[in-house]
Amino acid sequence: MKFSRRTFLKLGAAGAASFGVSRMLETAPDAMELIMGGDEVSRTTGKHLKPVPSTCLNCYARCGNFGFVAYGALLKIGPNPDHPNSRGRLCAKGQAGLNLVYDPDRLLYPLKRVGHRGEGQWKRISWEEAYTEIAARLQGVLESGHPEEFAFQSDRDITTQDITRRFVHALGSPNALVHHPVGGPNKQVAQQLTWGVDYDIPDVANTEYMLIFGSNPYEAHYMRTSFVQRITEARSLRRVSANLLRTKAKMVTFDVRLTQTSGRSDEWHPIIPGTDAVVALAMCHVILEKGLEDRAFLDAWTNYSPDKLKEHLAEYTPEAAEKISGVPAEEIRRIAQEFATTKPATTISTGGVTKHANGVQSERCVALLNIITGNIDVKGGYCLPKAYNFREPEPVPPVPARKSKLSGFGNYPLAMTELHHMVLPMVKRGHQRIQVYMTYQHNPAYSHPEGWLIEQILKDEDLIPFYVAIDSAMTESAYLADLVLPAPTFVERMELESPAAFEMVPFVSLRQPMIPARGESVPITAMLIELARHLSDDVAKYFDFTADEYLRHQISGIAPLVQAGGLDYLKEHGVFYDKEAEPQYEVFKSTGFNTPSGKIEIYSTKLEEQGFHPLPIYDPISAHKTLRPGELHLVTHQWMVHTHDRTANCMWLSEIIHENPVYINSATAASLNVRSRDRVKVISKVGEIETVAQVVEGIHPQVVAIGDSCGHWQYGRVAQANRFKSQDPNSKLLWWGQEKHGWFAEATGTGNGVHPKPIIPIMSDPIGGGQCWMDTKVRIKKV
Amino acid sequence: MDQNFVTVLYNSPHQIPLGKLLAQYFYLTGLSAGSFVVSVIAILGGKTEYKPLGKIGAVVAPLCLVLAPMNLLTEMAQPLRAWHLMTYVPGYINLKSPITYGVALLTAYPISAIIYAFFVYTGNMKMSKIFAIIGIPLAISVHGYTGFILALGKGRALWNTALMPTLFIVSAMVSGIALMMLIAIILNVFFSKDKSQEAITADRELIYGLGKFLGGVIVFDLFLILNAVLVLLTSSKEAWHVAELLLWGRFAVDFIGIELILGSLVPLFIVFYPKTARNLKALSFASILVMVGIYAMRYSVVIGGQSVPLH
Amino acid sequence: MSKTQSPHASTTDKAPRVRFAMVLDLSRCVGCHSCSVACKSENEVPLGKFRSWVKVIEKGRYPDVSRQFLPALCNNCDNPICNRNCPVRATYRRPDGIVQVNQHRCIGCMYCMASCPYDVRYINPLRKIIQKCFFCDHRVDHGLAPACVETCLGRARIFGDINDPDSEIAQTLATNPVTTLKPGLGTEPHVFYIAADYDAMDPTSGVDVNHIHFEHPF
Ligand SMILES: Nc1nc2c(c(=O)[nH]1)N[C@H]1C(S)=C(S)[C@@H](COP(=O)(O)OP(=O)(O)OC[C@H]3O[C@@H](n4cnc5c(=O)[nH]c(N)nc54)[C@H](O)[C@@H]3O)O[C@H]1N2
Ligand SMILES: Nc1nc2c(c(=O)[nH]1)N[C@H]1C(S)=C(S)[C@@H](COP(=O)(O)OP(=O)(O)OC[C@H]3O[C@@H](n4cnc5c(=O)[nH]c(N)nc54)[C@H](O)[C@@H]3O)O[C@H]1N2
Ligand code: SF4
Ligand code: SF4
Ligand code: SF4
Ligand code: SF4
Ligand code: SF4
Ligand SMILES: [Mo]
Repeated sequence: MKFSRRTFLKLGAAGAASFGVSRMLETAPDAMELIMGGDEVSRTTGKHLKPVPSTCLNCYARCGNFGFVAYGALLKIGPNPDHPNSRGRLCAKGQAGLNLVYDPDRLLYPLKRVGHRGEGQWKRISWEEAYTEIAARLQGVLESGHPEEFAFQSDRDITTQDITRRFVHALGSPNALVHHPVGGPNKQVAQQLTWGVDYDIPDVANTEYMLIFGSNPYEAHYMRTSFVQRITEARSLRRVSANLLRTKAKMVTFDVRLTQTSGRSDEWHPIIPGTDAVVALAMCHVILEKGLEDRAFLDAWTNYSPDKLKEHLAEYTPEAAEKISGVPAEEIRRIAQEFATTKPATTISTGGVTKHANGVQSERCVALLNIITGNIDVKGGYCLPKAYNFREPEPVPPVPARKSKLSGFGNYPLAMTELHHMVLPMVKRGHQRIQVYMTYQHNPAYSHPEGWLIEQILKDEDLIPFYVAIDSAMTESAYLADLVLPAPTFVERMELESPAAFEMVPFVSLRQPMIPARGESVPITAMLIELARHLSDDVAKYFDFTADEYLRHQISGIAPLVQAGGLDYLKEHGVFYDKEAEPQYEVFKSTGFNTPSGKIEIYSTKLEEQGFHPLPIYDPISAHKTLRPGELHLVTHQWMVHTHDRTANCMWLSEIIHENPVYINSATAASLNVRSRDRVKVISKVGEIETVAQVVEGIHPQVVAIGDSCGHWQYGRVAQANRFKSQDPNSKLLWWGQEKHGWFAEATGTGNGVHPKPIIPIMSDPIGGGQCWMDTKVRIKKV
Repeated sequence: MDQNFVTVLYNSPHQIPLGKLLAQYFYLTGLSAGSFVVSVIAILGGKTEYKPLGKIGAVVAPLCLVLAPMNLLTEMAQPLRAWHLMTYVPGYINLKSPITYGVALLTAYPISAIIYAFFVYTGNMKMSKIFAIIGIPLAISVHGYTGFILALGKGRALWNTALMPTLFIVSAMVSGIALMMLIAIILNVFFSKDKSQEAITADRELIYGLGKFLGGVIVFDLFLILNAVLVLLTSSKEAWHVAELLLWGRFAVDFIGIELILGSLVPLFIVFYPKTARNLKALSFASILVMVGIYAMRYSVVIGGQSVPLH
Repeated sequence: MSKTQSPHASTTDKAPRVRFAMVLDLSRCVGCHSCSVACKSENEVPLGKFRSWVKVIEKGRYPDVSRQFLPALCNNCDNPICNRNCPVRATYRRPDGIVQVNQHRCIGCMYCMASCPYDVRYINPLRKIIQKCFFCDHRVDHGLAPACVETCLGRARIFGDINDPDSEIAQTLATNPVTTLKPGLGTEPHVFYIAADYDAMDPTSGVDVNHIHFEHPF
């Protein structure tokens, strides 16, 4: 396959070539003469270490990595240069996977609660005891005739999703709550309604113009490492050799705060939260008004005529948009013109658009920009995801007939996935009785809005009579469980992945153990197979395979991979893609779109059927209308070195980011008489938290921001910023804790910060059901 | 746009490698060098009435110099490897490092100072004169080299000045004279029972003379400091920040308050104001102030010099 | 590379020898700290110390604000003050320009630390010796790129032999405006920056020197 990256030139013989790296990489910017990735020498002995190719899961980008091992110990995690998405790079979190494996506070043995719930008293038990107890409980559920009273919430790697769904369905419960929605489900719903798949891949490496709404790929994105490296490629100012000067693709960013991305964009436009839709629509208005739209594309591939669309957009003038969003009308005009006349161009939008009450509609408005300019699935444009599908081994348990509000979409008929943050509150409200609740790699007490409420529910033995938490750390939720089962970290497990491909050629990558699972931890696949065998034959018959065989089944439908050697090939190389395949662009021309009309649905009949507006509209957020003087919008955001709640115990990451100040504009701070490092209270209608203020220029004056990932109160001593003695001498060097040395000393550090969830109310977009992470109204008070 | 409106959102911690103990080391070598010089002046000066001072200095100088390196060893991360400093083997010895010379001086100077003291006390004037002449350059170098240590620490604006060695030698003289004066006063007041009244008066005159001498050196020291500060204020941005720290910032109490006002101006007044210039209590007070002042100087130079971040 | 022809560098060799250097192209840096963490992992850098870190600043007034990054590491200078001042020659310059420390010889006097104008050296609190970035010499000696270079998300780090005219780094240096940190000090740093920000390079910009927190060396 040939990827002619715009101007990349291979200088000299890349060291990587000697490693038999495929042609794909010849065009990747790996010009350096030294070997980039895939090899490692010991610092002390100078010997090459044994490489094990695998796949990262310290976030959901699933980059290709290598574990380097010697004498059974994992010494380093490095990048896999042969991985077509991540192309030899790993972010800080991926590198720090090492901390996760050797975290001194890791769960290594099955534990059973002995005291009351939440007292933190445990007894170590054997796996056999654990299986027997869970099997007995599950048997009880089955005998009660209410299989739906068993619910299982889990993480989102594909193998895990598939096998947990299989397990829960085999028991006759529909409550396999396995789709952990990406960025809130709103984006998925919007995409599905509009062009028939729930994902997008902006082809940034080849683009000339990036229009970003509410996204911060330099710090967080579900394709982070693969995505950002291609953005920088398009934005390089560097001359690679005398005759090659890379022209810089323009990047224009709308964000409520100055992020690493917006702070490095050509233009940053601060915007009032939740109003991106009106700006996008005004831009569409301008484009249509000036006749800059791609008529041919609109006529052939959308279900709504440009003229009628123009009529619909008549009210969304730049002037109207300026009033709502605060973005000057002439800027909207200029950017619209630039976007429509620069080809190819693409938008990038994630949480800032979709983690709002109007998330689905807003996302559709942003997508409309790509649609009317004909940038759909073209090189350098806004592309359809390319990925492989996996198979399930026969017999597949039938989808249970029994309905449950937890997995049915209740008031959100258009939602594609279960509303993860609503599961426990629905139990509390009596929508579903629960006998057995299991979580795998899921920590609702920390990661869900109104976390205190979730804690209360988990503590309540009437609501949750039996709770099994499977995790590799003693999370805030596991702490409230009856049984805690140790799971290996992603470094010690075997799973398959097929994330959307940036090179537009689908691929499969394997996560495999770099070292044997530590302690007595058991991977979820093996655990569920074993558990099934402890249940009746009725259940066990669906699990008549080993974990390895299960994976072989999953990829059995991918003919070129099977030919190449299937799982064995993956174990050797870590990743598979068809080396002969050409990048797939404009695939809709042969397949059409997977929507009822086969076209892009600017006019969505599905929305209409459910009583929503069928066209992309700006739907104001109720929070805006009731914002009183003195009230501010609180938005939250991801940190560049953390992933939600799974990285706080990685000491190299927490060392960099461990405090969660509230970012506040200098003018606003002045009016509140707040200065940097002052302690302030942030108060919402559901609670209040205390943290320090960081006064900055780069945030909208009506907005304050607090990050995710800090402020753990369980999870391990690193996450809680406690210094301690352990095998790892670094644990006694932890310097950011708040302990004092000597009676006269100042506290040495700032501590582990706060987390914003207790003050974020549970609230959903009425269409997509996704949590409104960015719609909290708060007041700030100096303490 | 306000060009200089900058907020640092993330940076790695700033480090201060050389701490208080190093300042103390500098202080003690300074005392040693200063008292040695005074002693030698007394011995070489020829006048018999100066001889007592010569004897005091001869003891104080090596004593301080034995204490000084203790501070160094404690400050080092690998004190047990200190002998590496003395492997005088080509390829291992670094002739460009002031510490290399320092080590040689720190070995040679105390030896010569002890020999000198021996002859002073055994009354061998000829030999003590010879060792005084050998010792003087060594004493000056021992302290001058500490000035070079800082002067060659190129990263720090406060240190990296040609004035530094001279400033260190002069301030060493200041503290050395003050120490001698204090000891002379103590001896004069408490340990002169078996002396004649005449001898006591002669000693007093000596002390008053020493006071004037101290005053003179302080004036020179102040002149050097003025030079240094003026240049700091008008040199690089970093230098300006150092001046800021010293003149009205974090080190203003040490520098302006203790070093300049208490440690220089007040003693200066005492030694030159006729009423106090011949008052032993006032003079002993002055000498204590001077010694404290010079300690503050060492501290603000060593720590203050490292207090402007480098990254 | 005429610019880096230092009067102190050995000029007696006829054939140009290997001279390793790094370029940091800040138009490609995303401020992700991957380099810092890769370095920690590769070199077992203890908590509290960094061989490489990324300074992040915000500058300007709302709404004309930007963020600037400055990854920093030992410049492996051609005229390293740290070397000149080390009394026991524990730190020395390899023929390929990498400034190394003999871990068995270092007495931990910290004079090199005090002398380095970039504050890139630290005492390892566990092993009590001086360490810093050595351009991952153990990797480079085996033909592997340094850990931070390999993993750099933006491919902002370019590493190689500046004396090889065909190398990417030599070509990059030949065709781009570059700068170094504190060039006026004559240390001749061999970490070159493209598109670095003046304020980010200025250690005192945005800093109140009176309220800065300092760390004890070990
Ligand atoms: N480093 C890191 N990367 C991650 C993750 C992580 O935890 N850490 N998590 C992964 C997952 S699961 C997800 S869902 C994604 C999340 O990725 P994103 O959703 O892209 O990240 P967020 O930081 O939640 O929000 C993006 C930006 O939206 C801005 N914003 C908030 N409200 C508005 C608004 O109304 N308008 C505009 N224009 N901007 C607004 C915020 O300031 C923020 O900078 O990241 C994935 N990648
Ligand atoms: N304030 C605020 N909060 C947010 C968001 C926000 O924007 N703002 N974003 C939300 C979004 S988009 C999402 S997707 C959620 C994510 O929220 P979660 O899904 O809860 O977060 P994760 O970080 O994915 O971690 C889940 C669990 O996986 C466990 N884990 C991690 N690695 C391993 C491993 O290798 N093995 C095993 N067995 N367990 C492991 C961790 O211990 C953790 O308990 O957070 C949400 N929370
Ligand atoms: S972006 Fe980072 S954490 Fe996420 S999968 Fe890739 S390397 Fe791992
Ligand atoms: S940057 Fe500092 S430590 Fe590194 S070589 Fe230069 S002077 Fe020495
Ligand atoms: S600390 Fe070690 S490397 Fe540095 S100057 Fe002293 S002996 Fe040399
Ligand atoms: S070259 Fe190696 S030692 Fe230097 S900063 Fe990079 S990873 Fe660290
Ligand atoms: S890894 Fe590269 S892009 Fe990321 S902060 Fe370091 S230099 Fe910048
Ligand atoms: Mo997410």
